[in-house]
Amino acid sequence: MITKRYLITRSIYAIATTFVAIVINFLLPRLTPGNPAVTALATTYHYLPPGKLKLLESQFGLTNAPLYVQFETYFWNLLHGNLGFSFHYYPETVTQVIAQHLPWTLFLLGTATLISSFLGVVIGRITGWMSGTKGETTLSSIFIALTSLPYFWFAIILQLVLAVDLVINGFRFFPINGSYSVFVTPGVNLPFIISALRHSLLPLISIVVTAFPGFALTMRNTMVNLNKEDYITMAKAKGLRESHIVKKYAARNAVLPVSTHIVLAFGYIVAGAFFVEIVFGYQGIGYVLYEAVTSQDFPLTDGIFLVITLTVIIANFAADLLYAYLDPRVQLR
Amino acid sequence: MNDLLSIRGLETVFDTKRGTVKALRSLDLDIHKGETLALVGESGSGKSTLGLSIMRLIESPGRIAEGSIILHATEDVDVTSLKGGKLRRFRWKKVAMVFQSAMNVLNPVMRIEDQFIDALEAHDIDKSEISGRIDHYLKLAGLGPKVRRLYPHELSGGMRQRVNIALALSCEPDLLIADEPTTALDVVVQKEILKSLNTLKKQLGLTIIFITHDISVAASVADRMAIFYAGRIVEIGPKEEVINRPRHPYSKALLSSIITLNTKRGQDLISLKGNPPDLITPIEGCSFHNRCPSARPECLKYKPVESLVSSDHYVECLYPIGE
Repeated sequence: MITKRYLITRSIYAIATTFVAIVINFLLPRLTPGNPAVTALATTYHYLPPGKLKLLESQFGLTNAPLYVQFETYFWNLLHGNLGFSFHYYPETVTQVIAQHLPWTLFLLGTATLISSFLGVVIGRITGWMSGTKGETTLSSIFIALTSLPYFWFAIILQLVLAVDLVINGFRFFPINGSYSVFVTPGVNLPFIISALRHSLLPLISIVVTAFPGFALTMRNTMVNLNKEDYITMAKAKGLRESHIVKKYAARNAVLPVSTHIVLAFGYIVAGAFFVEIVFGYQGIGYVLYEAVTSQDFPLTDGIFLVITLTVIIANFAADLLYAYLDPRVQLR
Repeated sequence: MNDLLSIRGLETVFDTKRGTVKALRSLDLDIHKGETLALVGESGSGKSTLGLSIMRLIESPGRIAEGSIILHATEDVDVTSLKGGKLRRFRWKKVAMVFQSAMNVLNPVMRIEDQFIDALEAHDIDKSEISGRIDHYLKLAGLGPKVRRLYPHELSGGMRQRVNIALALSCEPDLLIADEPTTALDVVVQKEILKSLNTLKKQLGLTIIFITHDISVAASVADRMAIFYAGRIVEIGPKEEVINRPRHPYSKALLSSIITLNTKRGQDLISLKGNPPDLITPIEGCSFHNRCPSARPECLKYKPVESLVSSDHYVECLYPIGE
């Protein structure tokens, strides 16, 4: 049950967190020593041409003004979507670079999170209900092994086995890297969509396979513990059908701790997605961040950090709403 | 034929690593139509196990090893042999239960009315009738229709137990098992709930098995009283008889362990020494001999059999008090 009051307080929390994140994101690079304009000029000149330094400084937005004035400018620019120029992708702006690559990551992250939550809840529900049987113990052991695999390692193995080695009669089932084939034109057309989906398969599988078993285990454990709850005994006493008890009594209550687990794991999924993008050369934010860091593209790394923070804040906000919807007791706390 | 339920030779056991615990030892019991029978005994005496056995809610590692529970409905059914859909339809429709843990038996994420609806639908109550029934039984249990849209956490303990009573009555069962329904509640609420149960019983002509460890509670609701000890009924009879003229030493000890307004100054409260016997090892002789104040050497050797001591008053003792 989502009331107006709950919505407002949660929104205020989210906005306050965002503001703190922006302040930190503004302060951190300014605490680091050095002058980016000097660094940039030093790569081409052996001395500092004063005119050029001034020009570059103004273009980068570097001044000696007090911090609060700088913050005002920064914040104003941010509101207008102006995060400055990227060094690596110059003359593209940071906003442009992010706007180009973010959809790929959002697609990968969103689909991976949805699929792994769904699989976790559904499979956990089944293993929870048949817990103690041989099939269940085997499955749960496999799940424990799978959750312990690092995303990127699993991604490399998948890439080697399914993309590099799996070639039958000259036909390669999965592309080795990239996010779409060079032979299609990006846009809303069938060949592009098919190619993009095909390229996203292995990255998706690497995230899903390493993420969902953890959710399934949480779901299973909760279901097993819930079996001892009095309301389950009561449901049996009421003469309800077993399928109804599993669905509306056991699984419905087990979903609550599982959703907490999924939200907490979201940060790991983001990090995992970045590694996976790098492994597969998938042109999402993670891949760009890797390039930005290796080429010391400070404005771009800053911008990406901000986007990551915002994504996690938004996800948490959504989780708060979801939780209130799932558990009627939440708002009283 | 005015018995509703006949239990014969019932043995409910629990398989543990140490061995098989016999929670009920070849128990016989008849429940008369329209009566309130109170099962009284200390923890572990088997009274709750009996309630759960009748509902067939004994789960692994527990099982009903032997005996029969015959329900005299339109035709006689042995409850112990029910399976699948038949068992499902038997529960709540024939025998319903009010549990001790009022706070935890309702599903926290379902509205009260939905917890009625799924039970009513599971027993094929006509859809048009459902809403009226919910209001009716909530009212009988002393609650308004407002409760329907609430969640369990929005109700107090007493209100929840009233909901549970309304829920238990909603399918109009022949028998209601109340397993310590007031133990988790404070004394004031306890009294109110007992009062409602008594009124409901008169109004609906219910048959109730009332499980409690509190003799004063049993005294206020029961027609007949059965005293449980170590998985057997050691004494059973009309309430007044059992309370005023207990014939089993254990009943007497249990009765004199409570203080009433009539307890005289200086009067000793009997407190029993020792523990009930271990139900894993077979019991020789009388199960109570090691704690019995009036035990004789024969009590160690011979199993007492049930004997009629006065009208409808049975006791299982070699030397009942007063003989």
